[in-house]
Amino acid sequence: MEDFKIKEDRKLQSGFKVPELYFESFSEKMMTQIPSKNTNVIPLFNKRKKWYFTAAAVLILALSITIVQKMSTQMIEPDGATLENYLVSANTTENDLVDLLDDEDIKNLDVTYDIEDQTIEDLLSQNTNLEQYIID
Amino acid sequence: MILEEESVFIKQLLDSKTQNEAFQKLLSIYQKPLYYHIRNIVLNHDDADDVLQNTFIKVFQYLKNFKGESKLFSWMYRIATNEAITFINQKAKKNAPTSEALQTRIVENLKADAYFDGDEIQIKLQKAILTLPEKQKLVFNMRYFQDLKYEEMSEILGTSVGALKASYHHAVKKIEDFVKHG
Repeated sequence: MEDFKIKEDRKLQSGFKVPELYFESFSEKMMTQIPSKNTNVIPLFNKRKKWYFTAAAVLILALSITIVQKMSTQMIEPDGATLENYLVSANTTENDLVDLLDDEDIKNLDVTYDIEDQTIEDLLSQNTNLEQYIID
Repeated sequence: MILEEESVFIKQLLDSKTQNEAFQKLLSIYQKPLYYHIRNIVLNHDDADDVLQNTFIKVFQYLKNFKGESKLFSWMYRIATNEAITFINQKAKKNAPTSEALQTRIVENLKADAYFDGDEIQIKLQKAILTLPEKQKLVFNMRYFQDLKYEEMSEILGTSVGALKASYHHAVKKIEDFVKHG
């Protein structure tokens, strides 16, 4: 082949060509691939947040169950004053109380009082409902 | 584009209000030179089209990280070069033992390529370019076909101007020998 002098001979083209209107349509093609930053897309379901909420819900549920179980096993013993106030406010009758007593309770109520006769007499003289007690 | 204009242009590319228009301008300026730069590496039009799209997508994605240490043009060329070389290497892994073997196969079939209209001497030139080491190939294509200045090539390839001149000189000698005797 003849001498080919790159620096001296006319410059050759690569020979590569493109389809018709390739560059004209390339820009349009590219713009459809570029995400638009003008619209803020707020995802309806954020997977990460959803995971957090699920975990929080499970934790709250577990704690609730534990607390409820603990509360149900604990018996809060009210003091005497609280109990008395409750009985008065609930309009509890003597018959209601008697119904609640069992044999053991009645036996415990059997107390011997060592009271002098003079003390009894004084108490009876001060009591204006004496007749009523006798009737009952 | 001078530095000040480029700085303003980059701001427009990053601002969501002006981004679309600015990106269209970017495409109109750089699509052709980048396409031919890529085409000189991958040789096939469809492959060049794929790589060019990938290049602009990457440019769009990483523009916010562009620090302005080099010209926008050099940065984009660098992306295009890396994309094209990666592409040809990956394609070779699937279809041929090496990227050189793949490119040889493509050049051998250039006559039958619908998007090549070169004559015998142009085919011979492409075959000659293929015999060059990768760096010399790049340098030769960028200098000879794309008329890039050595300073521009230095920014793109990260090689000194002196080394690039030497690469080009050796590439020219090898090509001339190949065309004469090959």
